[in-house]
Amino acid sequence: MIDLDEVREKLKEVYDPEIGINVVDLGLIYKLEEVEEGTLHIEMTMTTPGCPAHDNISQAVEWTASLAAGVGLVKVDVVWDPPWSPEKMSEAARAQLHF
Amino acid sequence: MQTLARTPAGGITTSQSPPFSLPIRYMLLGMVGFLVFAVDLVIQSSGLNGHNTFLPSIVALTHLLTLGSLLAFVMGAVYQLSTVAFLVPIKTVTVAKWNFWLYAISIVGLIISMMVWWVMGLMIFGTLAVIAIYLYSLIIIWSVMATNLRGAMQWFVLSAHVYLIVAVSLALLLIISFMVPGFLANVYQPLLLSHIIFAAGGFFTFLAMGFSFKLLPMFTLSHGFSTSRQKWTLILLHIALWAFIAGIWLNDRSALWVAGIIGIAAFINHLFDVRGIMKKRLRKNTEAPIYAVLIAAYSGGFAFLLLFVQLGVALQIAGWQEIVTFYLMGWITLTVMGFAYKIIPFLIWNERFRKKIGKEKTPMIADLLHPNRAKPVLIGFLAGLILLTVCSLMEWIPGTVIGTLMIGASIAVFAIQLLLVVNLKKVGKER
Repeated sequence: MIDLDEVREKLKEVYDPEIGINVVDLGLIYKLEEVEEGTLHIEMTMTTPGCPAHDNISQAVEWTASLAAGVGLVKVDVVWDPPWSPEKMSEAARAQLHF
Repeated sequence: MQTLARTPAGGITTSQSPPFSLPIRYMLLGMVGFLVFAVDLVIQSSGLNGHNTFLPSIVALTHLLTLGSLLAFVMGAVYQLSTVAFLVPIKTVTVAKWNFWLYAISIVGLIISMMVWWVMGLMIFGTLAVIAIYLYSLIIIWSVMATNLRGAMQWFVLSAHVYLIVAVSLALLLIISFMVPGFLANVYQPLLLSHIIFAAGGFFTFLAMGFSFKLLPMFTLSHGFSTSRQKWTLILLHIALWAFIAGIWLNDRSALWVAGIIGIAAFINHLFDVRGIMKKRLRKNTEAPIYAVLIAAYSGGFAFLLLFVQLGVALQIAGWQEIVTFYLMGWITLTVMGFAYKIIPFLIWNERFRKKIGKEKTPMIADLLHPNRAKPVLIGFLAGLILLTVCSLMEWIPGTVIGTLMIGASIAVFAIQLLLVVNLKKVGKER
């Protein structure tokens, strides 16, 4: 059994290197789901299609999530629908951007 | 434990970046070019005024900026950014890599030939440089044509590269006219002006505007801005460019006026677009390099205004050298400098830290070169440019010398800052 809250906390260690805000607070993580025992499915997005940091961030999410207890397999899907929007950011992220 | 990262079935692939060694070799050449240009500019500062434009040393200095610095850097940036903006890979990375050596050798030879005015050298190295630029342009056109994304940005970038081909073809005709006495002698001036217009107003302007539509939102995290004006800027800019060409070849002053007015309209329209992007930005703390890009766009419009005043009020073409210098420095060079401060740290971070992200503590991109460090450099550059332009128009030599020295010093610091981020000891070992 995967503790999804633990995964979410771990993903807060993955930062967008340009903006300096973690992927959870940026609202890039759309879905965390244990699809079967030990298999974690992550659906995420990027702030912009073609984001040059795409590979780095999705691989870092994949690696970091795999460190959580009970995770045997991680599948990361980068999706563009729905597109990312500022409303998906946390209050902390908005404050950091002075938004 | 297994991991699997993938894009959704039928989804678009967004990461098409070429190997690091492709863009960085061109950008490195550009950075070294900027440094050499800065030194040469300082050395020649006492002799710079609108009357010396055709001295071999000044022709060489101009091309050290345009070919040795700006174009070299921009070629690297375009190889990287085309994949980001259009979500397509570069068609032939191997040819693009080898073409670098052709380009580098040819422009070094060409600029030295200009300095000593060796016409055979101009012919040999000029031809090689034209081949290298044709190859580069065709690779980009081929790559960008393959995109599924439709919009004005694609046409800006395609137009830019078509105009680059035209600009360097005209340059070759100019060189042939030096070799063959009498050949094209009666159209030398329109040929030269067309070469400048297609290069500065065509290639660099279309490219700077086109990529601004992607880079400004990306670096300011802007979302939800309108893109409806972009196509009008594109159309206005094409009309302005061809009106200039018509005015020059037909010696028709009214066509030049029309070109000036439409050019101003194109920049105003572009500035509305830029303002729209900035209004919707999420990163409210605007960094110095982004301010530089904004000021550069205003400078471009102001240069067209100066040209219009020159043609309409002073009723003469003489004096275009100062305006072209202002356009080249204030619009094109400042735009490249602003974006370079953002692109180079990102590229280096991506190459050196991407595999460590999530596994160990990695620096932020701003830790490699904080944008605040660009501020004094860009202010110095702008102050120098304003001084140079005003004093050149007033023909006050001490002012032009001080302005030139300020520009030279600023560009030198800019190039050194970027070269320190790149770190030549490390970069040679990277893929």
